[in-house]
Amino acid sequence: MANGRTARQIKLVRNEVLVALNMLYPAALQAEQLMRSLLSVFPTMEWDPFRRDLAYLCEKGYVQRVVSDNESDPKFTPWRQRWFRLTSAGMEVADHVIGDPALDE
Amino acid sequence: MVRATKKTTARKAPKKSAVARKKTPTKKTSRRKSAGAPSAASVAPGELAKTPLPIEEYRQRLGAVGRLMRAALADLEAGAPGGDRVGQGAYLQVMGRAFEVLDGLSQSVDVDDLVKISKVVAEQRRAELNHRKLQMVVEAADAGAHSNGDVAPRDVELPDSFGEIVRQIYGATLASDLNGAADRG
Repeated sequence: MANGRTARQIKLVRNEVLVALNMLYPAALQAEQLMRSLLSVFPTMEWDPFRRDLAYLCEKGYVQRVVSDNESDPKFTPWRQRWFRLTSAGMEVADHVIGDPALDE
Repeated sequence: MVRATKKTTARKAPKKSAVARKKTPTKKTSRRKSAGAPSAASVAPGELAKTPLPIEEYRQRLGAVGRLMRAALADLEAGAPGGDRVGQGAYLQVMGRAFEVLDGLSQSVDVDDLVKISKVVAEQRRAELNHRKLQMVVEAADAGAHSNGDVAPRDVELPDSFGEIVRQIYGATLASDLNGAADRG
């Protein structure tokens, strides 16, 4: 249990983030767009846990931030407006080509 | 012999009709089928939409959105992230708006959005052109052709109208801010 979410819920959301980005690959999505889209599947999802999941997936190397040339200083771009896309490793996990115990349901 | 052949043909005839009977379903079998698996005609449209799991439905929808976006906009991608970023901002903006509309996050693109996107694309295009011109100058300088003066374009400065466009978008320009600061002292 982390922040009131069960391990299963966490895995579900993280998996669905990967699947959603995989469906749109190679396009990138803004974090806010991604969350608004996922709200149709997880209506109780909140921004902070979602941001944690996104940061976790980035650190794992499954999701990559795309810095637009419009961003004058990428460090100060709010998280909601940051763009993310799937990496090759993330695609393999989303397609179940390789397994990750932290994400397998 | 003639009689015998007649008998055999007479016997075969009912077999054919039996096969034919098997092909056409009886009332009993058709009743069983309708009880086990309802046909599409017997299910109301609203029920069909509820049958798949929400996640499956969501994935199907996103899959369709992804296919559409790839078909329409994939050629606009500026390249891999971390590479040449010029033009990526406009591409991301267009992709983002397309996703929002296709995924149902917003019903339509309003005029303000169109104006914003077209400004971004125009600004991006200008930046791309200037970037290419600068690259040409650098390449020409590297090749030693700059001494001739007739290969590389010299007018790599922004056009006069650029300041006005920036003012329209951001409300101010760096040049006006600098002038104002200089006037103030």
